Amino acid sequence: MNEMSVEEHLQDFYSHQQLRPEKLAELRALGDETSPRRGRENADETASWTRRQFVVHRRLLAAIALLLIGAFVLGRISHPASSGDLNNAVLARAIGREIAMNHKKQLNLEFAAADYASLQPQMSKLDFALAPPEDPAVAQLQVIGARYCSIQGQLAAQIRAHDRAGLVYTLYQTKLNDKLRSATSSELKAEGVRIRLWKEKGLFYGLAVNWPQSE
Amino acid sequence: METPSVSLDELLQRGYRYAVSLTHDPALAEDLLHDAWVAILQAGGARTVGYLFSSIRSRFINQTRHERLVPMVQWDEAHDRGLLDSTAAAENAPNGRLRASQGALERALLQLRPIEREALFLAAVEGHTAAEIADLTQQSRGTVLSLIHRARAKLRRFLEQAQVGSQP
Repeated sequence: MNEMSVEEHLQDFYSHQQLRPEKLAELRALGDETSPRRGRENADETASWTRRQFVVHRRLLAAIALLLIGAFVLGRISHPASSGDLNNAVLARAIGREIAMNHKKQLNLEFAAADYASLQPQMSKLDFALAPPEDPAVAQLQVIGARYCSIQGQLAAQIRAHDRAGLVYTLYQTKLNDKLRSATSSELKAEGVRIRLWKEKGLFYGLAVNWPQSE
Repeated sequence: METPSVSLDELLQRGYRYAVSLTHDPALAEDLLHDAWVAILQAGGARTVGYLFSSIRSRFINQTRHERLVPMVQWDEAHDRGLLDSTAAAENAPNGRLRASQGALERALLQLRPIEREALFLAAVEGHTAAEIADLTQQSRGTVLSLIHRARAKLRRFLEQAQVGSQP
């Protein structure tokens, strides 16, 4: 115990006062996690981002609203909307989903054939004549075979074909009935499948191919 | 109060010692430092000794006001006049040096009021001038000078009493 001044005693006493290492590490970690400058920058960035997002969203929403109003007005002028139109589109969508699900199943073929003419005699249950599509791009697909299926509860032919690149397509054909006649011809995507629906020669056609591989 | 930039560890250790000077209790000092540090981080405040000390001080004052555990009272001259008179001789001693153990110093510091320990700590340990302490503690420089002088005298007296008591 040395003789010291009061100041020296105080300095000595307080030099022995040390924050526990665990507590020091805890507070240090807190400081490392929340650097004040970084915290402010982050807060500023977040606020700025939020403001920017708000402005962008507001403008985007305004543009969408204008487009929708425009489309609605144009639609009313050029093509008066009816519940029938809506139903037809909904029906097409339902058919598209049905076709997509069938396409994805890739069930075993019941009949092997290299063209439509060879398929017809094998698929005797069909009450309509199979016909190659008028679209040359579809007509050129190489037929592999077919199996029976149904579209909206009606018997149909599910014909499997592939293009020159080996991409597999499923073509559906069935006789047009009132229900299918009302379905809107369209192109849509469902279940990861791109579907094209159309009508010709008294038949209803549906073509399915995996998407986006087909893009 | 201008302070050179210090490392994070040194900043926290100095903050802790300052908190000890106010509370004279390690656990309370830890809590005080923790709260002050978190408040600074949340506010994105500057990591300087001055800012940390201010944060610690304001929290300590708030706590004592609410809990009335350690009242931060102003120096009571009448209360300490007798003490000052009795310690005047020792204060003016030729070398002003004395012996004191850590335990004795701790007990002596416990006899001081927080405001006294704080003033002594800031002056003797942190090396601040009276003007700097006045700035931190929101007091006049004259009050700070008086506070330091009397706190030092008081502490010396307690230490001398302890020294006499420990002699065979």
